This record gives sequence, C-alpha cells and structure tokens, in this order.
Amino acid sequence: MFQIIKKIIKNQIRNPKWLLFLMIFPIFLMILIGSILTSAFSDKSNLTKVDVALLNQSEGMAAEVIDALTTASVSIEKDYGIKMGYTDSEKEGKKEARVNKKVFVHLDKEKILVYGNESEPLNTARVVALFRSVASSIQTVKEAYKIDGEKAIELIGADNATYEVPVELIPSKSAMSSYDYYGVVELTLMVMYMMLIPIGDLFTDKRTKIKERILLTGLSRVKYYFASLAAYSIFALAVFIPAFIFSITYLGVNWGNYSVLMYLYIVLFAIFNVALGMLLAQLLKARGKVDVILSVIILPIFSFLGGSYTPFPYDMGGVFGKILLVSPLRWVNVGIFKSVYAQDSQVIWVSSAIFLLLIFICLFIVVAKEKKEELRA
Amino acid sequence: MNVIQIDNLVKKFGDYTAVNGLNLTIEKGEVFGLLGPNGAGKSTTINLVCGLLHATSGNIRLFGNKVEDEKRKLGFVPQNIALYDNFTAYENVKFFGELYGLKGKGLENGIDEALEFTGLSDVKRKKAKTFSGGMLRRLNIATALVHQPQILIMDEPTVGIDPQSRNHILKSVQRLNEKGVTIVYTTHYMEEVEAICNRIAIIDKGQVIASGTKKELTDLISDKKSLQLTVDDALELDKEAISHIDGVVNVEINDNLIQVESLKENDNLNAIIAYVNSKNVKIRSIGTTDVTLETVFLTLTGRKLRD
Repeated sequence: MFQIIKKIIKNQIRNPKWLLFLMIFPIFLMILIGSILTSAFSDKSNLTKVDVALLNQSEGMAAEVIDALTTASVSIEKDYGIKMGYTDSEKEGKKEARVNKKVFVHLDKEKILVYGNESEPLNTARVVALFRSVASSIQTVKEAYKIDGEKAIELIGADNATYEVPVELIPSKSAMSSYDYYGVVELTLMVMYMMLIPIGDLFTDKRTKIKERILLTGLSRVKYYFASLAAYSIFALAVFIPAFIFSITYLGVNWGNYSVLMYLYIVLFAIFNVALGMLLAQLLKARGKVDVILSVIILPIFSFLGGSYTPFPYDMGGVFGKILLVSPLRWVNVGIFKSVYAQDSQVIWVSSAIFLLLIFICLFIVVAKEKKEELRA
Repeated sequence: MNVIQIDNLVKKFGDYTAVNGLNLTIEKGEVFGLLGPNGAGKSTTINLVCGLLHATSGNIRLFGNKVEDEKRKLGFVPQNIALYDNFTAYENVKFFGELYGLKGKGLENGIDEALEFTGLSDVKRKKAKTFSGGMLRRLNIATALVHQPQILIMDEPTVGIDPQSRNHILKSVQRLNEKGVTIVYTTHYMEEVEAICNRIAIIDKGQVIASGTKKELTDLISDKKSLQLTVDDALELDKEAISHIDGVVNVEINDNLIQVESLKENDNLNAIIAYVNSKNVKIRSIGTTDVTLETVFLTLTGRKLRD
C-alpha cells in the first residue's frame, strides 16, 4: 500500500497541474472576488459623512448639549460620521444647508433648531438623533437632581453624571468583511475540486491497464482503493495550506479561535470529495459521462447553493432553504461561519459525522462493486 | 514439466463466448506462440492465465497449482503501455519491483538487470514521457522482468513500433529464454512467431485449432502447394474463374501478384497459365513458395490472420 501512496503523491508533484491549481487558484479567487465585492459587505458603505454647520448662541440646556458633545470620550466625527463646523450667522448657516447640503444646527438660547437639505433627510435625521439623545441624557440627570440632589449621582451612575452617552463599539474586526466571507467560501469551493484528481488518475490506471498490472503483483483491490484514498488525503492535507495561511496573514480572514481545527474540517471535506470522485469513477464507466455530470450538475450546482458566488443567510427557511442544504459545500460554509461568528459548532460536528459516514459509504460501494466485477470477470 | 496447463477453458462475456473450450499445455523453457487474428481470444486467454479474469468453466494450473498461488512467478507485459509518464525508467521499474516485495540490494539488482536486459540502462534517469514508442515498449518489458519471473507472458509486445525496436525485443525474448524463462508470446504477426517460437498454437474463435512446432503445423497442409505469378495487369483477371480451375483451393490477388493455393496431386499449372494468356495478360514471373503459418491459418480457418 505504501508504494501506491508514494506513487500517487510523487505523480501529483511531478505533474503539478492540480497541485498548482489547488494551491494558487484559491488565493487568486479570494483576492479577486473579495476585492470586487468589498462594498457588499462594508457596514459603512451607505453612511456618508455629515457636515454640520453650528451656530452657537446657546444658553441653558442647549449649551449643556454642546458641552456634552465636545467633551464626549467618543469621537463624534470618527464614530458617528458627523463633522462639527461652525458658522457665524443664521443666514450663513441656512445657505450652507441649501448649497453645501450641510446640516445647520442653531443653538438658540434654550432651543436647538436643526435645518437640513431636503435631498439629504437621512443626514438631518442622524444629527437630530444625536442631539436628542444627548439632551435626553442631560434631562434625565436634571430630573434626578430634582428628586434627590445628593443621591442623583448614585441613582444614575457615575458615568452618566459626566453627561456621556454610554456607547460600546464592536471592534470592526468582528464584523464580517468580504475577505472574511470569500476567503472561506472560495477555499472550500476549490476543495470541492479535489474530486477531479482521483477520477483522472483512476481512469488513467484503468485505460492503460496499469491497475491490472498492479493487481497482478498480489495487491488486493481493496488495498488499491484504500491506498488511493490515503494518498489523496495526504495530498489534500498539504495542498490547501498556502491558501489558508495566505487568507489569515494577508487578507486577515477570520477563521475563529480554532483555525487549525477549521483547517482539519476543510481537509475532511476534501477527503469526502475524493471518496465521491472515486465513487463516480467506479459507477460511471465512461470518462465522458463523469465529466458531463461534474461540469453540468455537481460542481456548478453545489458551488452556487453552497454560496460560493452569492451569500445566502444561514438559517434560510422555505423551499429554497431546503434546496440549499442539498450542497455539502453549504454545510461546510455555514458550519464555519456559525462557529466563527456565533460560537455555534453544532453544524460542524453534525456535518463532520455525515462526511465520515458518506466517506465510508462511498468506499464501501466502490469496493463492493469492484469485488462484484472481480467475480464477474 | 508443464508450467501452464489449460483444460476445457471457457470464458463468456454475457452472450459472447470469447474462449470456447480451449486446451493448452506449455512446458518449461519453451517460447510458446499464441497466433490468431484480432478477437480470436488470445488476450482473454492470457488474462485468465494471469488471474485477471475468472473462467466461466474449465481449469488453469500454473506449476501444477492454482493461479492465485503462483501468479507472482508470472511476469506480464500488457498490450498497452502500462507505465507512468512522469516517472523515470528507473522509477517505473522500481515501483513494480517494490510491489512485488523486493527490497534493498535485491531490488537494486532486479532494476539494474531489467534495464540492462532491455537496453535502457543509459536512459534510466530519463522520464518515460521522453521515450520513443520502441523505448516505451522495452520499458514495458523491463517492468515485467524486475522480479525475475519464471514465466513471462507477452501480449502483442511489438504493436506499433519500428523494425529496429522490434528486432531488439525479439532478440531479448530469445536471450531470456536462454536464461531459462518460459515465454508465452501472443501476436498476429506470423513472422514473429516463426522467428522465435518453439511451439505454436493457432487460436480462432476462442479455440485452439492447431498446435505444434512450425514444421508440425506446416505438415498439416503438406498436401498443398503455393504458386505465385506476377502479371502486368491483374485487373483483367477474374479471381472466381481461377478458383474454379481444378485443384485450386484459394486465390489471392494483390496488385499484380497472384497467389494460388492448390492441392499437390493436381497438376493445374498449365490450366492456370492458359487462363491468364486467354485474357491477353502477360506473365512476368512464375514461382513457388514455402507453406507459411499464414497459409496454415488460411487453410484451417478460411480467413487471413490480419482480417
């Protein structure tokens, strides 16, 4: 068996068509599709910066609001995309709103007046929301003081007493970027192509009668197929490492806290594809038929349903949601994303068990059919 | 001692009977030729002997034992080039040597001898994909020799190669035989069988229709004679008319060469010449040829070997 394993691996290295394809093409796809579809994943893509023209003639509450905003620990500009600027007069401020589409905020004694360009209602709403939330906080503190001045700080908490709006920003790293998505799905897509390698090799062995020659040496058919599966598994273990490392180091793809386990999960999926390829080569005697089934049915349908081109929500219901589950690629991708972003590894465990079972079934059918043919031969 | 004993061998593929009650005995040290046209059942018989196919009925014994028990004593040179293109000659031979369980010095000696024997030692570090058709055929043989088999089975080993490589292979077969290896050689090239085989079995439709030495086979049709006429325009002649001349068994016309098989007792030469003259066709030469295995096959089956 060891000779067969060695031969297959050496043959793949000597004829590096597949080796290079599986090592380099995922990297190419990750970069290409990840960069093209960056905007589809950016949470800031629709949030344009809002310029505010502020006329500060404030007293009382309005003055306190502007104090709260300027002394806030969070950066209004950086975190909310609202850039504060000043204007000298009401007329100038309104002109800024009309011509330059700025939001003009007039702090008029006790009142806060906001003027926005009608073509940018969202920008106006964002500024109003910001001022309203700060004013609301200040009002809360004041009401607390009215009840019991001494206990006010205790009642509303020390932080609120500084008039800050408590904001906890989720680090941008945790939000899924296009590279986080396509880094995973393009690699798993290429893993599916592993099934083509045993198909090619087994048909060559059959066509050239090398298989017969090998069997003549006394090696059993069962060992021949087990050795082949083992060889392609070793190949799979190694061939995707460059793309995986690249995805982490250069693209910053988030594989979660257990990236090595994620890689092993991908390798298991690769072994499943190898077993599926061996089964197809065994069941369909003509290479042409296998090529048609793969290129017309299996690869395009599985990759589309798996989300290799377009992301589908994790828990998609309805008929389409059920159709999506037809693709093992879907199980793998959802398994990885749920584990990384929702700390839910159930899909990974269940699909791993299914893959192991399917690998066993594929091999069983291959060997059973081979034995049947041996008896019939 | 019989190294291969085949009794009443039958092999059916569905409704098609490829081997139909074949009996054969091959003795130690022979170069045994299996001669027959394409589809005669030669390759099926060989695959059965190698244990790659199971007989529908009948019995095959190698060295008096079951095929399974003795098949590692066989070397098999398949009709196809069963090699790895990206491996060197050395690596191809080594791969099969290791599969046969050879290790260390035994393996290295086996590889060296096999490559030396096939004249590939100088190119052993070159990849098979760089080899010519003849070199590939020789490497195909080398991989079957690495474990030093006692029986070498060669299935049409010279198909599609140049005369030089063919000669090299035929000489290698003879040298191997001199070293004591029993060789079973299948081909539809009659001249190869005539050149190297001690004994021959003519197979047609899955059966041995005749077997023996070349002399024994040609003696089977010793009642026949073969006449060759070269004429200047054979198109004027009617093959049917010649075949109706008294004593004529078979007529073949190729270009301007007419080959007439006749029964020895019939003196029909004058009648044949008279017919040719009657068609105003000039005879350029007349001669007789020895009876060949081709003639034997033709006489026994009514078909040509390469039909």
